[in-house]
Amino acid sequence: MAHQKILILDFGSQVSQLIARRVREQQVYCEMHPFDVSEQFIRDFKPQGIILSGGPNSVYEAQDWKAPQVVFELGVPVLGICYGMQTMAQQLGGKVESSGKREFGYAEIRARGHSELFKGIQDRSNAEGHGLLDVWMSHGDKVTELPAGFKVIASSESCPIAGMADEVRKFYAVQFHPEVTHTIKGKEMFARFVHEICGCGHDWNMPDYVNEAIEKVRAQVGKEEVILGLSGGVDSSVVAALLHRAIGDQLTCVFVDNGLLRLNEGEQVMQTFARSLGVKVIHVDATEQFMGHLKDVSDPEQKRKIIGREFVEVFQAESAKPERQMAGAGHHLPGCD
Amino acid sequence: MPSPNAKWLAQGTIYPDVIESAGAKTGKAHAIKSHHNVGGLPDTLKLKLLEPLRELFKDEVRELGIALGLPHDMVYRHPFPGPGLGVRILGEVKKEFADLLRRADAIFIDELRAAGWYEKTSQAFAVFLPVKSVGVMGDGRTYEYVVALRAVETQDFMTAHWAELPHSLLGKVSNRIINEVRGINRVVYDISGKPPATIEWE
Repeated sequence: MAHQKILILDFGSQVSQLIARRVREQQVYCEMHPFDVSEQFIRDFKPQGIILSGGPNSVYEAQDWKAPQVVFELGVPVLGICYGMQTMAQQLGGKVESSGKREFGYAEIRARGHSELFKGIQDRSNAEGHGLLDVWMSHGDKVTELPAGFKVIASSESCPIAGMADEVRKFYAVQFHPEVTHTIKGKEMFARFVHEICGCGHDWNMPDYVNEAIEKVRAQVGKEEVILGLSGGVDSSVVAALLHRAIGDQLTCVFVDNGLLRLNEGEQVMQTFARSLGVKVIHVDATEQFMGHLKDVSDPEQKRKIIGREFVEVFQAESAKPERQMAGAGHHLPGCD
Repeated sequence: MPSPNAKWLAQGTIYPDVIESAGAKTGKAHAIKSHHNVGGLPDTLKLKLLEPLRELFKDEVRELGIALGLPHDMVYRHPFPGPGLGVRILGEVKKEFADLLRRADAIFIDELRAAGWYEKTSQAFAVFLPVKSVGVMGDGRTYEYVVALRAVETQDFMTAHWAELPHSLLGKVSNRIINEVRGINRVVYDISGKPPATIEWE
């Protein structure tokens, strides 16, 4: 199924990933890629909207850290955040300058100009009825001159252009970080951008995704067999459940007890997967082997290496055993130690 | 070669593991991840890699798990390091230490769940310290090992605060561990934040 997608171009902010999570929270599929992907990639991605992330650079120092020009030519909405706002301003003919000092932390901004992005979104209002928002700032540079066609949509005492927009082209930009939880109404702003401004629906959610994921696995694997190292952790557990649903007996799991698991962990894994779901699980107790190799080793990195290496050893040996062929032929081996 | 049947190796790689960030190019802003997925296996086993979760964030993986019918407690379990108790037993790992730690850890988690604190903390566990201290139990003097409890609250695991667990809860956990796990006679609580400390001890 083809989802409506948002493309996030990353300029290296520590919190860029949060943008992707905020978008996904809105049940909209998105992907994050480095800002310097090719123009062709962006066209082929067919984004419904594009978000430019923050980043540690200055637009006037890092000349090559720009959004590919196609971003502004595709005819889709664009949201610039922090550095993303600055590069948008500079690339479209505005001006960015160092503000002399870094602004880091909470700031109160006033929404202006009745923009689509902030309309009806506020934490409180002042005596004149202007909407006020608590946001999180982290920047040294700021936009000092708007590009042609833009208006101010937010301002603060220290940052007169804290937000700008060209509502005809649907280009929006904010100096603060709506993706961090400190910006209280950040979630509403993302909802506004992806749903109202970009026109994305709510077509990304896990209950619906189950079937899509199953179909994908079936298409990829066909009639071939799959092995999976089951660890008791969330990720491998979900993979096991998904693959079992998708390909049933074509899946064999290997659960290695290295003697370093939590209490009853092996038992719980066998209960959930082998007995309740009927997944083929080979349970290997390799405690002695692991303990043997860990004897007299006290350096943490060394221990990690040994545990990783022995896991590979055991996993490899197990998947090579003749019983594996039996398992492949459809014999259940629940809980064989 | 091994595994005459399997053609695929499945792994629980998730989206944050595969996102290529802009910082990576310059070597900036790129934290080195010691990944506990099964590195090296696909090569040695000559298998194709199947990564059905590689588009998903952790919270989506959990939602998918629930949608697939996995038990809530399994899906919302705190993270556990790949090397397991191997990095929660400081210094040399011995089966005897692992057995003590497993029981102490289970008591801690039990009590957190009972008190409604498990969901409020992002990660909680016990750490085995290979040092002995003196104690008194009944009429006798003891000379046994120490267990440290660690519980943190965090949004993203990049920074974390130690959880301000109620003293009564800590007291109960300590009591139970010392009474029920022969070989431990002292329990301490870790009140270090990240940074400067890490969440795990090793």
